[in-house]
Amino acid sequence: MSHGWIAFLFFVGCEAVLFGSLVSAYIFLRVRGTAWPPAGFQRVDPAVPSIYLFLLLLSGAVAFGAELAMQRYRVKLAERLLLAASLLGVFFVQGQIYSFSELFSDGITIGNSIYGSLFYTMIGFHGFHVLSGIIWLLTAWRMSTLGQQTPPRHFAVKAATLYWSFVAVVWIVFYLLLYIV
Amino acid sequence: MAVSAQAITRTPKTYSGLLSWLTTIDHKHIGIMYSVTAFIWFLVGGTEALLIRSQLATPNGQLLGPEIYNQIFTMHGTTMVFLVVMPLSVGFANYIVPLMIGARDMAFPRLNALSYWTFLAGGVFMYSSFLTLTAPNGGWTGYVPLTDAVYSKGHNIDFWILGLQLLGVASLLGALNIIVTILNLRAPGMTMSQLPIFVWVNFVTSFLLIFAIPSLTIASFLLLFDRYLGTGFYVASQGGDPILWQHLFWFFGHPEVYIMILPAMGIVSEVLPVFSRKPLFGYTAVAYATVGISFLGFTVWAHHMFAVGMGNMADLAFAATSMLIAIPTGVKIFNWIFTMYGGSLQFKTALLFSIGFIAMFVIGGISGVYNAVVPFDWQVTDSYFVVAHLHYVLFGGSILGLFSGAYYWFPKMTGKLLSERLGKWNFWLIVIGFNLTFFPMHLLGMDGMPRRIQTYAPGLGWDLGNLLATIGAFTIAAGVLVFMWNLWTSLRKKELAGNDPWDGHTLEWMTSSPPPAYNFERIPNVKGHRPFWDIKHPEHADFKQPEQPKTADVIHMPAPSYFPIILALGLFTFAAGFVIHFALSIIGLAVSAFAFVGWLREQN
Repeated sequence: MSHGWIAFLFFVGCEAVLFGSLVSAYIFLRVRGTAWPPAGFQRVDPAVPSIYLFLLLLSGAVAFGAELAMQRYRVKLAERLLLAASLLGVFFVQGQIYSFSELFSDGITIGNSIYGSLFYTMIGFHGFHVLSGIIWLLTAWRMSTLGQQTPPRHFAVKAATLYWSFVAVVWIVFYLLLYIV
Repeated sequence: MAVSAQAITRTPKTYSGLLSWLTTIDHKHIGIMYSVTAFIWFLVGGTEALLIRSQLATPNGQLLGPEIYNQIFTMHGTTMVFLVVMPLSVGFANYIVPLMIGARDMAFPRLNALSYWTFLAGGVFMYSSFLTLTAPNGGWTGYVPLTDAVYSKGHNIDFWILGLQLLGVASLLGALNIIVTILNLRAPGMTMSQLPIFVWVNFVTSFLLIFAIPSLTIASFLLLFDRYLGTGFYVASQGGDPILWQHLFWFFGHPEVYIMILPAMGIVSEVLPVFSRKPLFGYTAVAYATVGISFLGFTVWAHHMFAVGMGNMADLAFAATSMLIAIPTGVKIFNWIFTMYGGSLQFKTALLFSIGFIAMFVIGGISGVYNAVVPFDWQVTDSYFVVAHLHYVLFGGSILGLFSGAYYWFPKMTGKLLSERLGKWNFWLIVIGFNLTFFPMHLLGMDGMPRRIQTYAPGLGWDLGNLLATIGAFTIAAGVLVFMWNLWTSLRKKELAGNDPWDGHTLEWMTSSPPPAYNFERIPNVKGHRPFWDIKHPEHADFKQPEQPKTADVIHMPAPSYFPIILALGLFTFAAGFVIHFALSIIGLAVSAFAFVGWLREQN
């Protein structure tokens, strides 16, 4: 395996432990609490978040399609799919900002309960990584349009799409913990 | 072993003087920078220790008031862990691992430089807090609620948190670099199952870093949020829990102590065979034991928390895993002893320090097993017994191991041998001083003396122990001064050490002292974990060595680069903005982005 690919895999492993620590903190605090949500707060309606989860998973599938296209030497198609995945990612980010405003109007702030603290922190941490992933997808797109991603040597596309899948999987876990379980 | 070769080296840019150090991406120079910087911090941390010991030499000490005392002991611990033991270990790893595997440099040379400059940035950032006398003061473990918004107003803890983020980035990047280097850049014939133990332990340690540091990152961010965003992750009245900090911190903190001991164990595993003129006894067992220790190291963290009320089941589980970890450790100890048994021992200073390591680490390991016995731990938790234990393993273990490495590899790095006469004074002053300092602390702890106290009343039975400890500390200082004198005079000697003063086993001794920029004129073909020994002594070889390459290598070395140091400066400025003014953070971000883009576009 190439230098960059090994380093990238271990980097994703590191981030997995990062998100895992956040999940552990969430489980620890929720299990130790008396009620969930705490008194005076309602469970957040999962309807709209479900739509944005779907959008993110769709975006992940599109990015995966870009990688498959590259493997089949269909570079132009891959570039279009990278752009599409980025766009869907931007919609997802907009959805997360919307969910922040929904929380706020439900009376849940970052500081007035552990419920809010966890929501804003987990969505925010994940959202920051979504933004990084979008930048990475767009960087891969730009490198490809500059002719620097010639399959089978298309590391940037491979790495960007794998990272994006990772970010999507993390959100599945977060979504389940925050909205469903 | 020099062969005339038509090696062609092409380095597009060369700088001289200071600029060459600022832009170097050579693993040997970076290793030296790490070692020199870490040694300076060793002196700073040691001075902090002498201040502590001077304050505690007698009851009702008047030297340091409580607030400054808290800053001194916090920075002593933080410095020794993050700015001394870790970077000294990385310094040796950087210099020696590529040579030992027959490579020309690390897999990512510029990333290597970035790791060093970010490490420097993190340390300088933390220490800049002394300028406003607001150095971190919450202990090196930063427990809440002491470090939260209510009880730690001011920026002390912010310097600690942000400094640790910078240091964490440096360590993480270094770990990625080591893993890729070891996996991809080994000389032909060097298999993963026959790596020199020093290489193997650094490989394993890098795994520990990658999987432990994120826990500290999350712990720190949650603390930062509690301090500034009004969250209550660690505040019981807000639905949080102070114990969460301890879990997240120690999930990092326990693997961290293995991160600190494994490289020193690797050094001992190299020194003992060479100075016993025998191969390492039980090579495979030592390699597996290393993995066992690392894996188990992730399962014991709450043995630092026996006294917080986790309940009997949790206490028992962590006590069991903590005792279990003594087994692979014991395997290593016995293999080291059996390596020496029947060997032809050359009592050079390097060997003395390795033997000292074994003796002191065994004592520290035994006090560790005592701590694993929960009812005993309830008695001695947060007392000087724990201080004794941790110093026996970290100083008696890691530091003595690192001194052993210094005496062993100094001739390779500088071309000069350290004086054996001064080395023996160095060794005995340190070992005697060390035991005088820390052995009484076992008794002080069992007699009830808590740790982290600024002073104590007379008549508690603690006076003699503390006085002895202080005398011991100054004896250690004398030993360190002898070491520095040894460094100074040895560097100015005329006699050269030659390539292979110790009749070494591993590939670094095949090169000149110091090695040329490209390390090897020709990358050798090897077999086994003592390849150089087997090449030199085919009649006693463990493995028959393959034929060496006949044609010269065309060598292309990477060029120096400005971007690592600029990026580190950007990260430093970004962090500084948090404690000075947010505009600085924006500037830091911009500088970092500029360096990042420039780095990617640079032809290297």
